[in-house]
Amino acid sequence: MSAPLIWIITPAFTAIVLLTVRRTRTAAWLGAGVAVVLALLAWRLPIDQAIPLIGDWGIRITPRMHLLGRQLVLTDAARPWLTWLFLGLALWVGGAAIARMEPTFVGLALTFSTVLVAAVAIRPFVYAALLVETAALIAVPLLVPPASYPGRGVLRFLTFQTLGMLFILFVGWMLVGTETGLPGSALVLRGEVLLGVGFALLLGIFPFHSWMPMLTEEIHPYAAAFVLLTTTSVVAIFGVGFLERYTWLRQSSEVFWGLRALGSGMVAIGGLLAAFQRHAGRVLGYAVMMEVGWALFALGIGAPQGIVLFFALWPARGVLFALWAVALSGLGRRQDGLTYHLLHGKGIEFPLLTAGAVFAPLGLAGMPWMSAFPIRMALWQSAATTGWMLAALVMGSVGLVAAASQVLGVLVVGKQERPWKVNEHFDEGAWSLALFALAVAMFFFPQGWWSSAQAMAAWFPHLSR
Amino acid sequence: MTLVLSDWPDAVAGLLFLSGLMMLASEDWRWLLVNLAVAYGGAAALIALAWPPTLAATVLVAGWMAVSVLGLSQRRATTTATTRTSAQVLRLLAGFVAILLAIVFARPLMTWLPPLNLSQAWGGLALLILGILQVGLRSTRPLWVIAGLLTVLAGFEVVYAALEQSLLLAGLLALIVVALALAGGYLLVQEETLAEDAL
Repeated sequence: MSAPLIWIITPAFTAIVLLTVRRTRTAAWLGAGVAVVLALLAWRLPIDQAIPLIGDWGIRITPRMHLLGRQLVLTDAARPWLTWLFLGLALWVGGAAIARMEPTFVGLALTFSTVLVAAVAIRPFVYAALLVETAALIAVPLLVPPASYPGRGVLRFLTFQTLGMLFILFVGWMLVGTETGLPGSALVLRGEVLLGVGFALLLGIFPFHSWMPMLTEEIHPYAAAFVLLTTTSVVAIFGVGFLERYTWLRQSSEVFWGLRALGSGMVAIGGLLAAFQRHAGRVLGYAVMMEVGWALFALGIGAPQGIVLFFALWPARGVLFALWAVALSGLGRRQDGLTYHLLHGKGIEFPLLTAGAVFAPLGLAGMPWMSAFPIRMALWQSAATTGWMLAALVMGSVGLVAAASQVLGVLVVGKQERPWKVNEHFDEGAWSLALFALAVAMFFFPQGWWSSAQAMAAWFPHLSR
Repeated sequence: MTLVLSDWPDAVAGLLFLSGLMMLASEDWRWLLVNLAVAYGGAAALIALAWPPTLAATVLVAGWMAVSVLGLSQRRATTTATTRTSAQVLRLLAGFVAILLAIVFARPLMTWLPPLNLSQAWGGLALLILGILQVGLRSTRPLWVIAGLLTVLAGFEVVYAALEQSLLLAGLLALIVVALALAGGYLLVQEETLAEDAL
């Protein structure tokens, strides 16, 4: 038995079965159950070590699987990442019924995530670009379910992912055998530039970010947030793989400074643009853009703290965006849109969803008592040595706080003709409260997931040393 | 006669440019798809300079499958968009700028990527630039965007074929081409169904 068989092939086949399930709730429970089991297996089962079963009998999970002459490799060091990834997937897939998604969402979401896991696992890594593109193509029916209009955002998403794939394929060919190439050579410079452009397209780095707010404006916020968050998070890991593999890239101080500068710039621009929107979905899109910025900034801090902070961003982000997406799904479904004039005064009728739509962005901005605060604090402290970067990060957070305040104002200010009343369905209210409680609990017990982040960072020994 | 035969790659590169230009200018989806099919034929011919013809045929088959899928998704389309001459002229001008760019950058690309010959560099670059132009200038029309992306992929494959001769990579790129067309077809059918329902 091999690790890729358990964590790539099994969920892929399960996803195909789940596509035949007709009820979202059933599919969501089954999908979440499978994801939790895979997370538990990743937590408990060591890879490439003997696992005793009965007496002298036992099994060994091999890290490699051969596929069409190539290899899928998931080593023991990848287990903490797999645990968190499948836990996150369980959270999002489980919430699909609460967000009233199509039944196919669960199967497609599982397929999409599995293909992205395969992209991280495949060797030679150049094939990862093709798998990321495959994931983007799978995301099309996920983003545009039957009987919904395909907007420009999906086309732009496809365009940027396709162009990004071409850059990465080309760089992959160009950099063969240059793992220890000398910095400063013309080849290295070309490699850095092309790699930068490729990842800028894939991750929606400024100025290629326009598809993010377009997607969250035109598409169901739950599907859009899931696709954006998963794509950017896993593609970022693929990018970290480049830093880990190429000595000249890892040893270049300019690259790390560039990552910090780009990251802080994206946080500032995302936050400022979020503050001037008139659509709650677009604010979510800019928040995803800011998350990419935070991740780049964390990576730019360098070894060993940077990579730990990079992974520490994941759990908090997953919970807060799930809360936000469920809240916007509920509000958008009832008001037939998320523009501010449609949402005007509706907070009185749906206070729990309103709380989700306001506290989630506040938490992502770095508000105390929410899960993201400890990591934001650490990142602000790291930025303190460079004044303008700290100012940019703070400016971004202030922008997102302003956007959240505006959403709050839109939702609760108006004619108070009726008293406050909880009109949400039971499952919506309970799920929102559970996610909110989880986000607060993560603030109080950060050591629990900080140690996991350290374990995840160990997957990249050169960067975590 | 011998001279003409030995120059066929240049003629194919010229054909690629013309088909790309026609796609950029066309308002009728039929012309768009015919030119896309021609572009894939030309791309496969240039790829055959670097790859065995049987392997190069995968590009042709995948490209034509993609064209068929897009064509099938248009079978209910009854109207063509209103043509604005000024917009067409602008796109044609942009297309001519693209040929200038392709000519200017073809030789530097050859020095950078030695396995490339001039016809491949020129033809591949022309398709890449014209495809990107099409995606950018017609970003609101799914069929044209998908066709533009397929044009970009064809151009990339012409250049990449000279560098990399992996069977699996060729197969996966062919799969991506067909999958992109399927995704595009899905979007087109969705759009048409909703437009019909609205009537």
